[in-house]
Amino acid sequence: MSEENTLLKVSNLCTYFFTDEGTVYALDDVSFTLKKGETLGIVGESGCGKSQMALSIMRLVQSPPGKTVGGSIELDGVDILKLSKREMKKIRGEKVAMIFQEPMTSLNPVLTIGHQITESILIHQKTDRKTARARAVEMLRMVGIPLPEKRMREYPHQLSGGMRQRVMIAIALCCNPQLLICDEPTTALDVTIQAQILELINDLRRRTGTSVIMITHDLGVVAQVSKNVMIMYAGKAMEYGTVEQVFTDPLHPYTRALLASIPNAEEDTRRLHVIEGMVPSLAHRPDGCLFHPRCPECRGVCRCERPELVQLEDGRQVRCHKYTEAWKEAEQ
Amino acid sequence: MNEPLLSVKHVKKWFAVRSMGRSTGYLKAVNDVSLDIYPGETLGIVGESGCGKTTLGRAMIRLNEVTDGQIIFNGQDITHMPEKQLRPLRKDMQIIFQDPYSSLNPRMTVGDIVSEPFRFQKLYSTGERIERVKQLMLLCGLDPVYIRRYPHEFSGGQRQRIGIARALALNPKFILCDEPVSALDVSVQSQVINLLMDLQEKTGVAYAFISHNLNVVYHMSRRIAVMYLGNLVELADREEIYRHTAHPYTMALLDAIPKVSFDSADTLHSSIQGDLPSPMDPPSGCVFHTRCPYACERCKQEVPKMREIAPGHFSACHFAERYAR
Repeated sequence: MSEENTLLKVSNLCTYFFTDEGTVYALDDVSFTLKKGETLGIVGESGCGKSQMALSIMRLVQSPPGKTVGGSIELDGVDILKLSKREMKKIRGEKVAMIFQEPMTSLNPVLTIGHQITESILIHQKTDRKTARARAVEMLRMVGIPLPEKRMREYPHQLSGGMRQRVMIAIALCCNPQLLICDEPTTALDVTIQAQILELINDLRRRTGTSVIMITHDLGVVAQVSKNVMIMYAGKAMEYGTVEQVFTDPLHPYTRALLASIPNAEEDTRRLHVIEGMVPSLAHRPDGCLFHPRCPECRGVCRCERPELVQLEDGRQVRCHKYTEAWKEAEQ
Repeated sequence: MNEPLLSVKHVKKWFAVRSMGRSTGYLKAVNDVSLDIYPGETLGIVGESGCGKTTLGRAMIRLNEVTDGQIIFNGQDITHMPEKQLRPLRKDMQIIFQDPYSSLNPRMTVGDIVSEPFRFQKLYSTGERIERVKQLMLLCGLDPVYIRRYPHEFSGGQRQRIGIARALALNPKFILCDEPVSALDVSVQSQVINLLMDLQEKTGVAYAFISHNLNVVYHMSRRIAVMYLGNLVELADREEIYRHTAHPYTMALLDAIPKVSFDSADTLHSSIQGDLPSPMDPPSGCVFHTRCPYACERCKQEVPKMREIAPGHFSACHFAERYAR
């Protein structure tokens, strides 16, 4: 693994929210690396901190009450947490771009599509309005919008949900960012449209060499688009590995339970696997392993000691006591 | 086969669309749909947003008046039955809504919510009602000590359980489940699916299960109806739908589901292009022809009829036999 190929290196990132009800540990000690041209999937249930991850990398965490209190985010060797607001503005849109879940609310309803795309080109590139417009048309064509010249003059409400998401992708990619963060880009879309958008993101990644972080709650989406996957639970990374490793041979009890609870037409089981209980509140976290109240394999040590991330030989990581030396010794 | 519990016959639901106070056309939300639901079974209804699945469901239990066609429930034609006469029948048809946040009155306690059907139907004394509510809560996996709590004190999954308890209160014969698990996380979703299936085993209730998630529908249902742009395009046993798909739209839907399996890398492909046409101005002939990979001249002109291509397997495609898998 060569260091030069690394685009993004997140180490021990902690983002907390300081509220009246106490500190909410939205992200707690999360680390990962992303290489150029690769896709990382971040999966978790609602409230596990996956969207805060995206916002932390963009430095858009709402503050107050939120604050990134520790760790580092190195983009191309530069720690962006140390940059000034002004420098950060240059990075956003130019080096890192983001696509949100709701394409309707992230577009301005009173401005034309053309206006909104040229706007972001003009902010980041020294160019005149005419070339910016030409570039915008080219971008719309690239994301597969028919009649781009006509669409330039239209407003967001005149477009369908899938088309709006394509416009969002065009805006995100118009400055050739090195990293594209997609926060649940297809959750609001129908399956046939979802397949089109995922195909588009995959195709653009291949053509432009952009790295992608795909945040989703849908394990199927991750399996289709990413190479590596990180499973998050209650603000912590529980498991990391290639998609194939994690989905064919899940190590963490949470991953295993999550995979078993998806209805699947291929394997016919009458009853679905159930994870008892609920995701814990991030303000009142349980002691020990965060998953222990719902874990079928829970033992004494899980109740009192927070597990560290265990590095395995094949590059995988898992946050579970089961894979530590101490557990194995106790087993014998 | 025994008598159907609910029969929908050539039902149409058109909404008049007005602009500037003048009627400018009709939105054909449901167009000539016929299907039967038998006692104790689950019929899954799938389709993308705007395909009319919810409108059809609501018409089934007379929450919408239909434009044309007939709805027969338990042997009685309820299509135009006056509300007064309908009320006793409503005991047997209930609904579970998609959004567990907006379908419960925030100012009523769980006890009030679940016992409201008793008040409407004037059943039981107050003491008996409380007993019944506690039983229902237990049945749906809620602790009866929470009877005095308000909806906001519960999580999404628990709220959906409250909605289910309310639907079950009157021992209905039929429950319309309108996307009951779409708003829930995967791990909670499986809890609610298992609960619904257990309840069906215990009480013999029939479900119409509306969802856009094919995997969930497959898991829940015995038979599956696929809708597209207000029309029923395929109806068959779930195995038939999956193994011997006989409509290009159903094929496209099945192909579009992202799978967690690894037969080959990059299996993702969108076999249909383009967006859903506007239901205000549906395409001529077969409504799917604008996106269908197999469309030909005949599809543009002739409206395909639902035909039985195998016992119990209906498809509305001119070339169902040719393209069936």
